[in-house]
Amino acid sequence: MEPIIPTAASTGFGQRARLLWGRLKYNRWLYLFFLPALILYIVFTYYPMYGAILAFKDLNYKLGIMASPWTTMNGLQHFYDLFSDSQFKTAFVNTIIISLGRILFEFPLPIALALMMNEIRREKTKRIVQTVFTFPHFVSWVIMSGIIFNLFSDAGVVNSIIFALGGQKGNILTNAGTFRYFLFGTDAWKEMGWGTIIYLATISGIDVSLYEAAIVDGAKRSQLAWYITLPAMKSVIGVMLILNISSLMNAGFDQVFNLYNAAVYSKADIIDTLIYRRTFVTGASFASSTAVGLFKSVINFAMLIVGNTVVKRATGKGLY
Amino acid sequence: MSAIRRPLTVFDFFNAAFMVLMAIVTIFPFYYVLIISLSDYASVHRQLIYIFPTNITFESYKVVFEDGTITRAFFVSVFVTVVGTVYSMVITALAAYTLSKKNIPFNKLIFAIIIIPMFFSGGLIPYYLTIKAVGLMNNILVLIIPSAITTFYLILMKNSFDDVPPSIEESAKIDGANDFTVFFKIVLPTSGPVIATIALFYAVDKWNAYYEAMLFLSRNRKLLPLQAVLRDIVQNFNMFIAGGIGAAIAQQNQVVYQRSLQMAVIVVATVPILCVYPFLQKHFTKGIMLGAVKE
Repeated sequence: MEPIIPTAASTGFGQRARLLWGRLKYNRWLYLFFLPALILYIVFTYYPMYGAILAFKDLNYKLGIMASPWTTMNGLQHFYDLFSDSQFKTAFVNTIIISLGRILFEFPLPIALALMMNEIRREKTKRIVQTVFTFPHFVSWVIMSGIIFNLFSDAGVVNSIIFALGGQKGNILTNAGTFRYFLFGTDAWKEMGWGTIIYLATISGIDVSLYEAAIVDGAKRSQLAWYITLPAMKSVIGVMLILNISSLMNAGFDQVFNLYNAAVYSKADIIDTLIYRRTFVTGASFASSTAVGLFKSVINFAMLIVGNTVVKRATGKGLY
Repeated sequence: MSAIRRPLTVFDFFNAAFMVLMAIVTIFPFYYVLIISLSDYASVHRQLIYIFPTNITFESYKVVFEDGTITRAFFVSVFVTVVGTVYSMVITALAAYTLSKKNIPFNKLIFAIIIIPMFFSGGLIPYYLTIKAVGLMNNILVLIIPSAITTFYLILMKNSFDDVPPSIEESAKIDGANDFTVFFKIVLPTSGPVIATIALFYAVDKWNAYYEAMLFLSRNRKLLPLQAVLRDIVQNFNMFIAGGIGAAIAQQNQVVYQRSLQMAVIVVATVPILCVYPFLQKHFTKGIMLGAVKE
């Protein structure tokens, strides 16, 4: 509750400042509550954003980031270098293809699964099914990689089934041609159930009387799903799509990092894995890796704006 | 929907069959890990397709628990998870309460501060240099302090606090309570589901963290949590076996089935999640519904 104070702006500056001070003081606990979070955000997210200025510099350890000299080409040298760098180009293209592939193949699955789960009649069954489907989300990609290697390795159950059915044993894990589909498949397996939660939550918020009225009018179940349930999910689907589009440059680092290997770099090496290998394995310059990171962030941010504009036009509701 | 009675159709049959199939596909890989961890080389390779365990042995688990590296890593993970979750929850809950107050001065600014990092970041290297600069390198607190807040969880919690009826808070304040008392005596006790949900999310994230450990704790391998050690075991088994655990096995003159050993570590790393998850699952469905739908 606010103290009863005049809010009209007609008063003088001194008076306004006093009013503001009064409101700040009245809410002092609230500001204090936010203080620890503020410190964390400043130190660990805003200060690194400022540090990204390194992308335009040649790092000199003795001088530190700020005093290091700017690179040539008006500070853009590292960015120019990227585009004559074939490894980076491969990673850039892979990142885009994998991200788009995820939107194409993985994004619709939780929506479909949610619609099907919604048709389960007993609430208890629905809950059990949801519990089972959601579980893999909570298992890390490190654990998943062990599980997946176990299933798909030469001696794994997948190969023994293929062999038992008369097929040829093959190593799916090192097959560059199919590796991206392998990524889509394993990620869908892990995250699909988790993805349904937000859609099921939306469905549970739909007014039951809409369904009742439609049933009275003789609507079939498929018609209920198509004309009532799906349209009600439209704006949530739109928001989820925006979030997906705005992570175009991410492409799922944790999964790729734990599943890929040198045999599939040509198809699966993404920007994040390349930055990691270069900086921490082969020891490339911090400055050029910073440039890659900044490049990524800028594109993601641009995609957020594009995605939001498009989705807002299509569904009438965006993220902002 | 369930209130409306309708006859069973062919669709219901197919839907049920599909759900059962999906459940099997979801559970099978975990089951397979379990049976391999309990098997020896001979029994796995005797059968064409190994789906039903023939010979159960706990040999791999004995090796895992007798090995100092894995036991230590397990307790490092427990420490990081418990302390980290409490720390994250305190900071997140307090901040979420401030964010839920829309009529305080600078509310919009505070909101912008937490939203911007969701869509823009300085990138890995500046973050790495920051960690170095604040002296968290090779310090176990690097797994707890910097990653204390996940903005998405903060927003879920804020959305849930939005739903606390303002009239209750107002009447408490008329009785002379300040925001501190209102938060701890009224808001927190009525926010059970969302607190359970977010605590679960944080705990799982802390338990699963490996990348930060790889980046920042590489000099002091004794500080590595279980997931980072597990990554070594999965990715570089031979290198790992050449180290401590290999010596232990050689000393005992044991022949251990490599895959079985890997799978045993995976089971050890998964069981803690499996233990908490079912109890919190019913809360998190509720918690996320409260928090997320309003987006």
